[in-house]
Amino acid sequence: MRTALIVGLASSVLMSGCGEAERPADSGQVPDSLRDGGTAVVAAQFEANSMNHFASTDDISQELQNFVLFVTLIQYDEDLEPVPYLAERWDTTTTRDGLRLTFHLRDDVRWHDGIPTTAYDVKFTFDRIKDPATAYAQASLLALYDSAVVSDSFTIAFYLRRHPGFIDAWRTITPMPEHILGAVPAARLRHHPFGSEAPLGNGPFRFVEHRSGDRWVFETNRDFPQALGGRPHLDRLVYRVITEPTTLISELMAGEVDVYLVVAPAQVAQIEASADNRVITYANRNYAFINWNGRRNLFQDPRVRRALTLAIDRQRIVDVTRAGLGRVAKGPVPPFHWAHHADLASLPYDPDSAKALLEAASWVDEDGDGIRERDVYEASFELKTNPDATRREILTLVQADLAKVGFDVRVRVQEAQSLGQDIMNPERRFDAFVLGWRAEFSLDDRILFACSQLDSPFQWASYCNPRVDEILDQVAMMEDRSRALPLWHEYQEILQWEQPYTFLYYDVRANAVRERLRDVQMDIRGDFINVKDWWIDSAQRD
Amino acid sequence: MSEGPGVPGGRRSGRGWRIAALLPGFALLRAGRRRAGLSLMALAFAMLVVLVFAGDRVLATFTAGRLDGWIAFLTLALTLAAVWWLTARWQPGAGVGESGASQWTIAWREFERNRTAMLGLYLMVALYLVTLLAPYLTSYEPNVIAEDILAARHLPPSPDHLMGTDKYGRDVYTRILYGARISLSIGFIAVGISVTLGTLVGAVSGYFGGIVDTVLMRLVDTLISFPRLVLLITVIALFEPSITVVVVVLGLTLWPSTARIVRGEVLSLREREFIEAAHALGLSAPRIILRHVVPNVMGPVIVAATLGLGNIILIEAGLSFLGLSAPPPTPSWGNIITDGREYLVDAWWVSTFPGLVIVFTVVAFNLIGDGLRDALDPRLRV
Amino acid sequence: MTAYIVRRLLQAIPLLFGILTLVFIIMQAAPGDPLSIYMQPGVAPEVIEQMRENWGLDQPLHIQYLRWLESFLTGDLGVSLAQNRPIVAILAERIPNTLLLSGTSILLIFAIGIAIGIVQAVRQHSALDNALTLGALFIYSMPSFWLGLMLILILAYKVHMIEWWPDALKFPASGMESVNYDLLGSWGKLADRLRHLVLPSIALGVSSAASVARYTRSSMLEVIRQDYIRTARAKGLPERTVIFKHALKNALLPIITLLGLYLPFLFSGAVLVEFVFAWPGMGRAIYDAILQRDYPTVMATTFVFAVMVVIANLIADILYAVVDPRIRYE
Repeated sequence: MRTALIVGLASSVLMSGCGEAERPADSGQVPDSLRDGGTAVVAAQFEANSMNHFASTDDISQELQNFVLFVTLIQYDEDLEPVPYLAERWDTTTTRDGLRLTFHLRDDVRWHDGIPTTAYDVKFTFDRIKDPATAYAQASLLALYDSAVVSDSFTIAFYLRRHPGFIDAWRTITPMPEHILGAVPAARLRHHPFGSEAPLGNGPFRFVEHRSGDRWVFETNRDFPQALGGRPHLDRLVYRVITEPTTLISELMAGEVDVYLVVAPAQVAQIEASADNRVITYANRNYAFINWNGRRNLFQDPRVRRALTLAIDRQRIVDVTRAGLGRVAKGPVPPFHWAHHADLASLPYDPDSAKALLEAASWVDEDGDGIRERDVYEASFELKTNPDATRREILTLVQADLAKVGFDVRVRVQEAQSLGQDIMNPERRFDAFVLGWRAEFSLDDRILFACSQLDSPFQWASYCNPRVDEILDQVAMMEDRSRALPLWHEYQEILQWEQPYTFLYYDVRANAVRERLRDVQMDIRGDFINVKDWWIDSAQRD
Repeated sequence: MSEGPGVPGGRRSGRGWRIAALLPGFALLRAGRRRAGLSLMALAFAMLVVLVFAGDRVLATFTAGRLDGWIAFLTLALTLAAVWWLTARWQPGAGVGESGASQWTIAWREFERNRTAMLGLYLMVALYLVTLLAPYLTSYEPNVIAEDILAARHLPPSPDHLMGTDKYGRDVYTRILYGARISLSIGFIAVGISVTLGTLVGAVSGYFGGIVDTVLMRLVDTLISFPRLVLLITVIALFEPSITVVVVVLGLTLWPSTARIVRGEVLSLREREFIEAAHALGLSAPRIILRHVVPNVMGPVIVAATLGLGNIILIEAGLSFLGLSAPPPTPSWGNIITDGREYLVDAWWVSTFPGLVIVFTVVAFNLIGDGLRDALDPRLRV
Repeated sequence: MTAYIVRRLLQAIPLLFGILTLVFIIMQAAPGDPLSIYMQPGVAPEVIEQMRENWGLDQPLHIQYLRWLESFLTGDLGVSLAQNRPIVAILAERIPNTLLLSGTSILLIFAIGIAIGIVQAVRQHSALDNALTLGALFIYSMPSFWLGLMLILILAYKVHMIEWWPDALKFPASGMESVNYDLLGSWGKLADRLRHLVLPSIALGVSSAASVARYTRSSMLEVIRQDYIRTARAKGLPERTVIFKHALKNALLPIITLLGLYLPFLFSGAVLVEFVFAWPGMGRAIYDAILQRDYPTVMATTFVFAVMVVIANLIADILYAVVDPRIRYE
């Protein structure tokens, strides 16, 4: 299931894959006790809005909830397989109309006020998520879950319909404390001061302070269960918002900031050149694309869409706008995903074939004005995006590339909210636009490309192919990966041929980390996955 | 004007004199008007340099048929023509300043005596000539990105690229030249709108007084109470930023201060005899306002407009910085600074030069504004 | 005096009402749905409708308007759409920060501006006077965000590459206080705060300081020409006494009115400067809120900004009345 339309605002990319994560090289040499202490400052351009799981929608809040302030039922290991966390173990039994999933929780995880975290907290969280009045943004994670039954304080069973990746939801859903929030009516949960003023967690770090637009301060939780790693090494963890990239790099270089998340691509070389810092890059789950409006005469013919892709030098886009931080994309299933079609070759940059395809589709320039036409239609369209620095640059490059093969492209940077309204409108009020998606671990693309979705908000390409529908419907219910894989491959081949989107690139994220901060691991699962293990050399603590 | 031997009118002079007198500004120099003479000379020289060094580009105008090429050509031709005409007009003895000493002539004399104000005026004239002549002053295109971007981007300033290149390998100097058009046009149109509106509202409010005055002035108070940039970003961000929106919104939000000034002036004018006379003649209110009131408040309005121009250029730059002005690739100065700011540490030139150009431009407008204030309205002098 | 203040306050009421209405009209006229940030593939349309109801955005316009007015009378400014918390709480956090920055800038503006103005007036037409006039003119003509970027580039970034550069002259580029602020002693805290204020307040205030210098200079010159100064000099008083005791006091009178003039200007500049220096103030709050279409927050913040300006003007007027006994407010 996809959850995030990447609507980067004024700041740069909000894109997040798997890949070369940093290996803990020097672990084992310094005894644990000497690692404890110090403050690490993590900074990024965007605000973490709320620690209330029912209310927050932004990625960074979600990560801080999952890894810092709270605990989730399960986590993923490096192979993206579920491993126990709050849930010690789980089992499934088949029922008459589906599945019973039983979690056995640890009994030693306590809320930071001393009260144990129990199955009732999980049940409470589940009930609120299922209650429409809560307006929980990712309620679709649990769409196929029917009910929950608590059998004892540390055992909870869920009844659900069978679907692949059903356990994935428990990687992100963060149980909230029932004894604090239980009395709050669902409709008021979102506005409860819990989220920004006094969040009570049960994770490795405790909440200390929040100043909006400025910082979140967390301190070590000495009572965090030994079995889950005990107290984190850091005494304090500070998350700071610094909006301006020049200011961010200055603070990193000055030693005021230890981790700079989502480094502007242009700054990567500069940071790598400094002795005090290193850059951790990993392929995340995001990809950028151009959506062609399939209802427009110009974009109805798959040959034209293929020609458009062939005419765009996507490697150059990656090199120029992302300083090489990305891989030319070939479809909606990124390389991290088990269903990725590795043998499928990406369409090359080949303006000559593009021209030939366009001629074959009867788009020719007869009046010699440099712009192709067919019948009364001109090969002229408006390409939009939202005010994100990278996407603005993409528009400029695409415009130049397409001019060379006879397209007149007008570029327009539209305010994010009103762009959203135009593209989600069932009338599809646009010609083409550049945006990004984040592929979830549990992938379901029906919302993007299924005929049944033509009038729903996200079928922007107005693409309809009965075979694609058939495949997507089957894989959505197929739990056996080896049977699903050929179907997934066929799907990617069809999209490659028909190009409802021009898939631009799979994103690679760069994070800068000061050398003094050790054992930092960041990968497709997140930037804070092992925040408990980060430590600072005692000689370099200030 | 003292006449040296052999100079008067050039009639009794020798051949050599006649030729020398054709040299722009020479006669003025002889007549002791050093500044006017030198500037005329410099202007003619600069135009000739452009003509010689950009000769091939000037010729290309006729084949390429681009509009801005033609504008540049016309500017060049007209400026040269004007220079020669002025030369001819200012031949010694050819009666300079014979027109009556009107209010404006007096003001001009006052202004001309102000050295810094004249410096500002020269800067502004140079700026406008540069704007119009842009295609002749550079061999690059402002928006065309380099074929091999990675090799051409972020080149430091060099003889090839006077102010370096930006992230797409575009010449920063060229973009600043073309950006002058955008930034100055935004400034002029927005000031035009705000001054017209401000003058009308101020005149109406001051002339009629009473309830009209109260209502209009409450509106002015309301608008002035908003911090200007806050109001602007609210309005522009909520609608879609484009040149039109920026110009209109700037124009529509900046008029209250002009209205206040004009109203104050009109209140004092209203009691004057010529207005009463106009009343007595039974002239209609619109006619009195437009014909008799407005012309008499133009002094302070012009001063406010000139100072407003500098201000608007600064505001436009600030809006661009927040991504709320003309969309890319439009090379407004603010946009060029913004384009370079992620790369500030690596490629300082991209953001630094347009910033300096803004500073110099605003300085020019402020100098002129101060000079005008001294010349037109001694009461306002600070 | 009290009567005057009361009357001014009463006059402010229709003004505030006008501001409230204008802000509401702008917000309603803008395209875009405030809830579209929640329109994500995983979010069901019913969820969005539920939120719309929770926030009262499904009500007809006139009801929304009345509610909006009511919320100000009751002091409950509603809940932020993006941050999901009471706007009052957000404002309570942000306003002091903006006031701190603007306040420091004001001090800077008047201290530096007046000092330079006096020097210029005393040494009229000297090389120093001309140099300062020219310098002030350039500074006055600088975009504040650009100056901010340049300050960061040089005083917070480049200086770290210069070995001999004293640590005391390396300034933090962002935020209001260091991370270890809590662990500092009270003097250390003060010093830390001040160091963080240096760059932003310069970027924000320096251009106004240039204009204060211009006003002070001309005001001083006017006063110095007056008879009583000539008399004071003729009495043989030392020049220092003449300037500081006799001339300055009268020359500063008109300068005080400038206070009311600069505050809106500072609040405007604060938006850009807070953005550059990651200063968690009102300016950033309003900018973020606008980008996220957080209507209630935008309305409340804009309104508070306007109110601050009205109050500032009032204070300037009252100050003027206090210092100038010739002015009588009836």
